[in-house]
Amino acid sequence: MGVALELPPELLDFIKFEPPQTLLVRGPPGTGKTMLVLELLKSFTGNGIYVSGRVSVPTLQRAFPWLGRSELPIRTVDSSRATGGVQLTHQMLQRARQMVAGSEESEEVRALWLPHPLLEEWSQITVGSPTMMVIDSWDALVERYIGPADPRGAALPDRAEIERILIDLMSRAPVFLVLVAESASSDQLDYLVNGVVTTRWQPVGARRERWLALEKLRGVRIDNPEYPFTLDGGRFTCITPSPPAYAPQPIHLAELPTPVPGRIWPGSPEFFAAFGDLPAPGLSLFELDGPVPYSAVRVIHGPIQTGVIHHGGRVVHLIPPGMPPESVVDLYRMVFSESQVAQSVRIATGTMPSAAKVPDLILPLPNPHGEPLAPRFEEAWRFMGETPANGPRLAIIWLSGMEALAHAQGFSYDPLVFPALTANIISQLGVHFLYVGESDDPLTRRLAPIASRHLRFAQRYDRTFLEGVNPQTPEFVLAEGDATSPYRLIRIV
Amino acid sequence: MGTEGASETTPPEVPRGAVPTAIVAAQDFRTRLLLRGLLLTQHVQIVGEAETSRQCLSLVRRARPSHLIVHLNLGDGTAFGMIAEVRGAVPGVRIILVTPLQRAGSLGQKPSERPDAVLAEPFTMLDFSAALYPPAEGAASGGAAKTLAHERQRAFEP
Repeated sequence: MGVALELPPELLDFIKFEPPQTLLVRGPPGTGKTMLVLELLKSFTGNGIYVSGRVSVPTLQRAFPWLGRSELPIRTVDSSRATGGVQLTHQMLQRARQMVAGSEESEEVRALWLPHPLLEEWSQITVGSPTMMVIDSWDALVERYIGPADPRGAALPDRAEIERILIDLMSRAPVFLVLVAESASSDQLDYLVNGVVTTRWQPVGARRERWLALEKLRGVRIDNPEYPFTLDGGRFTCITPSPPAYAPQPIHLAELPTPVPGRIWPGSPEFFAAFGDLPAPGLSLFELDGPVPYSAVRVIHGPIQTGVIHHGGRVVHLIPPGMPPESVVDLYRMVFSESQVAQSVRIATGTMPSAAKVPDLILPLPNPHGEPLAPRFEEAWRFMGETPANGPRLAIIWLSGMEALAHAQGFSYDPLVFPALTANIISQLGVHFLYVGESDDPLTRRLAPIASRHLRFAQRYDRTFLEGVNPQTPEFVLAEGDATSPYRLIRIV
Repeated sequence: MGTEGASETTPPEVPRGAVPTAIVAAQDFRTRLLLRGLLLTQHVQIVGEAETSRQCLSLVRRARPSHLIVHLNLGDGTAFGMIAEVRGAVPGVRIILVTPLQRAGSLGQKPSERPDAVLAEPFTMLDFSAALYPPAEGAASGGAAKTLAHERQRAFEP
C-alpha cells in the first residue's frame, strides 16, 4: 500500500547504523534538501547539530520553530557569517611549523585546515554520545572559506583536499555527518561518503513534483530507489509505492479522525470541501488518466457510497468487465448488516460472482441470449425510484462496463447525445451519477464540461495520484491512513 | 577561523556532558588561533581568549575553566606574574605554559608561581595531549578522565 512516511525505510535503516557515518544530500535549490535533513535530525537517536552555512539561526528558527525547542537535543550553529578563511588558516599553520614538531605529518595539525566552526563542534562530541552533524549547505560554507585563488600562489588546499580532511576527521568520532550540497556531482565526495541521496523536481504536465532518489546507501538494500515527497504541513513526507490492489477497508463515518492539515481522509468533510460536495441530483466524473487500479478508485468512492446508505439512500453500481461483484459488496458488508445491504445496493454486471454469495444483489447484464438491455436498466431505475423518502440515490457507472454491454448488444452510445441522455435521467429520477471513465474515452470527454465534480486519477511510478479538475485542487497522492480511515490523501507541495 | 582581537566565546546552548574547558592566552593572534585549534583537536571547549594577563585574569574569574593554556609572551609582560593569581581565583585549574625558551619552566621561584606543565617549542602533539591529560590525573579520578584522554590520543592514531 502506498504509505506516507516521514523518511523512506531504507534511509531510516541507514541512520540506525552506528557512527561514524557519512551521507551526502544533493539537489538543486528549492527541492526540499533542508526539510529532508531536518527530518533526519529528528529521527536520529542521539544528539544533533545543525550547522547553517546560508541562513542565520533566528531566520531558521522562524521557519522551523521546533528547532528552538529546548527539549530537543538539537543545537543550531550559525556559520553563515563566520569570519576568517583559508588564508588566515595558512598564517596560523606557518606558526605551527615553529611550535609543533613534525607539524607537517601531524593529523591533528592537518585537521586545522577545516573551517573553524566545524572543528569547534567536532571538539565537543565525546565518546559514547553519537551525534548527527548536518552542514547545510556544505557548498556555501566551503566556498566562502576557500574564497578566490591566492594571487601570490600560496600552496593552499583546494576544496577536494578540505573534503578529504573533513571526512577523515569526522570518522574519528561518533559522528553521523550529513553534507548538503547544491553543486553537481563530485566524483570524489560521492566516493568518500557512505550514502548519497538526491532531490529533484520532476515535471508532470504543467506541474512539478518533488522526488528523492536513493543513489547509494552502503550496507542497506534499496528496495525502492525513488520516492515522491511533499513538504505540506512543514514536514518532509515521502510516499512508498502502492500495492497491486488496495484492500477494501471499512469506513466508519461516525468516527472520522481529527483533521490534519494537508491530509484528507476520503469521505470526511474535508474531502467534500476540497473536491466538492455530492449534490443530488447531479453528475460527478472520475477520470482515469492511464491504468489506475480499480481498487484505488473504490477507495475514493467507497466512503461516498457508504455515506449514501448511512443516510438511508440506495446505490446502483455498473461495474467494468473483470471487476468481481464481491469486491464491491465486501465493502458494504464490513459496515452494514446483510438486510441493509440487500435493501440498498444493486450491482449491474456481466461478470457473475464466483460463489453464490451475492446473487440477490446482482442485475445480470448482458444476457448472452440476446435479451434486450432495456428491461434490466428499467429494473435498476425502478429500484432506485423506490428509495425511501429523502434518501439519496447514487449510480456509480463505469463507462467501460456500460460500453461493453452496449457492444455486446450490437450498438454504441453516441458521445454527442450521451450528456443529454444522462441529464434527462438525472432530472427524472433525482439520482446522482458518478461516472468513471478513461481520459481517452469520447464519452468521458463529453461528460467533463457538464460534471459538477470532476476528479482526475493517474497512476505514476506505482503510486496513485489524484487532483480536482472541477473544483480545481492541488495534487494529492493516495496513501495508507490509520485504523479509523485506512486511506488518506496527502497534498503534494 | 576565530577573530583577531581577544574575545570570550558564547557557551554552548545544549549541555553535552563533561567536556574540559580552556582559556587561551597569548599576545600573538596566530599563536592564539593555533593553540585554540590544537585544543579543539583534543576535544577541549574554548571558553575565552586573552591577549594580556589582565584580560586573562578577568576571563578566568568569570569562566572558571578547567585549563589555562598560556603563552609566555603576553601583551603586558610575561605569564609568570599572573599564575599565582589565577590559582588563587580558580583553585585546581590546570595551567600549561607554552614557551619558546627551553628552560622557562624553572623560572618560577615559588610553587604557586609554577605552571602544572610546560611545553617548550617545538613540542609534539603527544606532549601536548599529555600536558592536558596527565595519566596520573585519570587514574586518580577513577579512570574516567584517563579513558577520555586515551580516546583522544587514539583518535589520531592511524
